Amino acid sequence: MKSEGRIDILIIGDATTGSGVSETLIGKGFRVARADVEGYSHRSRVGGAIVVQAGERGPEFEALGLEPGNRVVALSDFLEALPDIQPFDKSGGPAPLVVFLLGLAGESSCRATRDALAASSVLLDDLGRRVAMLYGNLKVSAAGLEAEVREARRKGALLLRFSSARPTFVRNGEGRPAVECLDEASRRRLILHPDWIVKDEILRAGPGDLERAARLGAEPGPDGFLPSDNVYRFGLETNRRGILGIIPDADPLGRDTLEDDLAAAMLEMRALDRFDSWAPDRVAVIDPGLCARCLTCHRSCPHGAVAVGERIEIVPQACFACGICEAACPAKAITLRERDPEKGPLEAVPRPVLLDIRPGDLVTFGCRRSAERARALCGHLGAGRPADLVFVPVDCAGRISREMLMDAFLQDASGVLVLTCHPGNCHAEKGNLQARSRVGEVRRFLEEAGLNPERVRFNTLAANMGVEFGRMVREFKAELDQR
Amino acid sequence: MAEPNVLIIGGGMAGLTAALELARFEVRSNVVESSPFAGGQAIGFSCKATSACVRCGACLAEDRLQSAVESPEIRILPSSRLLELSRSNGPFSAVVLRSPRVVDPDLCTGCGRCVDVCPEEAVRRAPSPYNRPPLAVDLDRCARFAGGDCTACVDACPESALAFDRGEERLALEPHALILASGFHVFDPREKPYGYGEMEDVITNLELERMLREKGGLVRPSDGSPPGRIAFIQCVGSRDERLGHLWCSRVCCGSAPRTARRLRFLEPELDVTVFYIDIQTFGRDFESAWNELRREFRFIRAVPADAVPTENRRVRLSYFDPETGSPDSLDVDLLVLSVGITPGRDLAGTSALLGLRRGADGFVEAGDSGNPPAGVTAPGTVLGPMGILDAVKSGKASAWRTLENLGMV
Ligand SMILES: Cc1cc2nc3c(=O)[nH]c(=O)nc-3n(C[C@H](O)[C@H](O)[C@H](O)COP(=O)(O)OP(=O)(O)OC[C@H]3O[C@@H](n4cnc5c(N)ncnc54)[C@H](O)[C@@H]3O)c2cc1C
Ligand code: SF4
Ligand code: SF4
Repeated sequence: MKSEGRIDILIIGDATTGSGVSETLIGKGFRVARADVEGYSHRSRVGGAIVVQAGERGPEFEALGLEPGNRVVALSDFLEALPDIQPFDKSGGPAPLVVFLLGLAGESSCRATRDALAASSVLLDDLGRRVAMLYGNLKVSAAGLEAEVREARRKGALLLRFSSARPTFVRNGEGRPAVECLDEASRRRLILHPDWIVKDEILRAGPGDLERAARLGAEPGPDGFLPSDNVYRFGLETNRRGILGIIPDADPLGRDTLEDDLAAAMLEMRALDRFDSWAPDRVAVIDPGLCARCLTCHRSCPHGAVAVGERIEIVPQACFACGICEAACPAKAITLRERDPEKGPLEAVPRPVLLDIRPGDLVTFGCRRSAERARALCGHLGAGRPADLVFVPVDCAGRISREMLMDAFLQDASGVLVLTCHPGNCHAEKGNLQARSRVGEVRRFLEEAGLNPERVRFNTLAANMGVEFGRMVREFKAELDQR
Repeated sequence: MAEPNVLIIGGGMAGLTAALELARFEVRSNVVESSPFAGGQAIGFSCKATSACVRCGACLAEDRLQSAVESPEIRILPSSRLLELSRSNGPFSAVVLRSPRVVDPDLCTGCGRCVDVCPEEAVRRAPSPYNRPPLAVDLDRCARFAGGDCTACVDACPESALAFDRGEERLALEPHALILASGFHVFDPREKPYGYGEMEDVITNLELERMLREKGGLVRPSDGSPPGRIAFIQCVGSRDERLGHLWCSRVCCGSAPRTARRLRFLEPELDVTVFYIDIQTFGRDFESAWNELRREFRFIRAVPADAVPTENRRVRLSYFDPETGSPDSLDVDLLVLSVGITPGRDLAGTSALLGLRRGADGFVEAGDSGNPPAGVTAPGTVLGPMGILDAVKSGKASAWRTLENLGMV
């Protein structure tokens, strides 16, 4: 149950964007505080943390050889200037032209398309301007955008697409750039003399975002934002339980999901509240009597669950029971434990043991998320697997230790196949990589013992790879049989 | 409120995720699924990984389905639909109609002997081993159901799992909240001039997904040979003014290049051309990925005018090449149509039954603009095109709103 004075959610990150988020959360009855990275630890009286990432939005003019100033502006600056633009008096000659550049240097976003369309409609309807949009990939995947683009065209906006070529910009006497380009559709060379040139801005993670992620021990995605793009993070959770990442100001993938992000975040936080009082059913536990304080577990835990203090301890709320530490601990001080259904004391989860192996069997170790499901699909599709296959499921391949693999050989298995998630798909981030290095160690071991190292093999697959599961097993089996 | 329970319509990624999240709060749900097999479109998809995961999200389908099937809080009702719904004070009253259950889910082991013996090819294998039951009889095809006296499957089943005397069932439920997650309808490309349905080697991206999942590789349907050159046409049935489809389907821009890479990984010599309008952002490393993709495959920014068979049984595409400014053509061994996401076929009826408003494009209006009645939410592709991860997140958001409606958070 919640204790007095406890904070439900810490908001870590950018103050300005974060405020809307805090208000929403407070409105829903959460107790919210703002803090920097240090404010958060699994041991503080805090339910969880949401990292609010503003990123940095820049027009990156130089990529197009454009010089800002003199009515060459970033889209957001133009939106600010828009209210001050006076309607054009039609008697004064041809209407001035506003050119929007979208996705010509750096990939654009749905947000930029939406902003440019909103500005265009004011320019065309109320301010008597002409509008041209020059684009690379026009981003229209967010709701309603495709229809809005067509509406803008109907109203007279000129839309010019660019595949590989790019427009060039030449300054005229007044220092205003003219735009020269080839219109792909008509094959005509065009010279535009815009009154304004407006460029979209590209959102990127800033140094602050990267540093914050690193200090939290949370894995960022390839764009530098939290969470990582491991699909098991569902675009919200990080590798550290209770730390969520959101980017309120942006929808890099053209989603309009802040509302959904926040709803999903609140759900997760409330679920963790309950989880706190339940305590997890499965955790790794260190035996202080055996622990040599080598910190291997601390280094290898992908979930930041190993706390280093007077004693080395595993924080149950942070542990996902992947077993990576159990397999890695040189002192064998760590065991996975689970509660019995009556929530009694923790009992050891037996390490997978090999029973009933007959000499010559092929033994396959596989993780439950990918390999075991692929195996089930293989059987279901009738995609054939040898009947004498011994399959040993483990919750995460990270739990596979060298001893487990060697045990199979001691019992005269003909070969050992280790099947894990593809790189980047492991729920524990690196359980699969860990298993791969164990296999490497066993190969070397076999070699040194004068045995054929090809008798142990490592492969990756996904839950939906039933056919491939059958193929991997059959091919390995055939190779073993040839020897 | 005693034991709150929720009725979820549609057992795809959005519906199953909502159910799983509710289960974390010990809220039970009934998932009404119109097809014999839950899992939605995504349960038929394949992995696109090359040397590493490419984040297509397809494997989440097995994760969601297995977890939901094994959850004690979730009851999936396949081959069912919501018939009536009313509410006075308190919970809703719902009547769910369930088609006759020919295959007993508790007895069937999925051995598939019935599949082999059925003369009408009416027994269908589920897309996933986690579907319960793992097989179903298509009653529209079954000779026995049409009044005949065929007993082939019944005789072949070693478990006596098949029976034709179990009638339709009407279930009366009293849910405290409703979630409409009935998903989308895949565009039927017959009305486009690409010869789909006429040329065997013109397939949809959905068929390609299933082929990769079930066969593990790509072959030409006409003769089973591996194709040397293939093409994808993007936006088939999307961004199409003539069809009145003024939306982008959002997922095909990720699906085609990822699939192309997977195919190239399996068959390094495969020649791939992609016809596109604009490539929408997919993946968190899109900018660099797009730059690489343009080097790996031929991307032509054109909507082909048509596809016709050639004398040597290939498919000829005519298009206007924007780089040269002249008409051109391309012969391929296999053509993949990236068909889009359209509103569910019975969405008009179902959304009306639940009191949800739809927008001009036919999808349910999101959030408050859709003016949902108290206790009703709608996640996933009923709202419009979105990928698996967004459907999952949408399902989570829907679970949160449902818990709020139930006064539980
Ligand atoms: C060819 C193709 C490739 C794709 N590739 C990808 C990809 O690589 N990555 C990605 O993220 N996304 C991809 N997508 C999108 C993905 O399919 C969707 O995001 C996902 O399926 C949406 O899930 P959903 O639950 O909203 O809908 P659905 O998957 O449509 O599920 C809805 C469920 O409701 C059931 N139902 C329908 N009507 C009723 C009713 N009246 N009563 C009861 N039940 C009903 C249906 O039978 C179905 O089981 C792809 C889509 C297509 C077409
Ligand atoms: S079991 Fe996994 S999550 Fe738990 S402490 Fe060990 S390495 Fe960390
Ligand atoms: S199915 Fe998609 S998300 Fe899953 S492992 Fe394969 S590439 Fe990655």
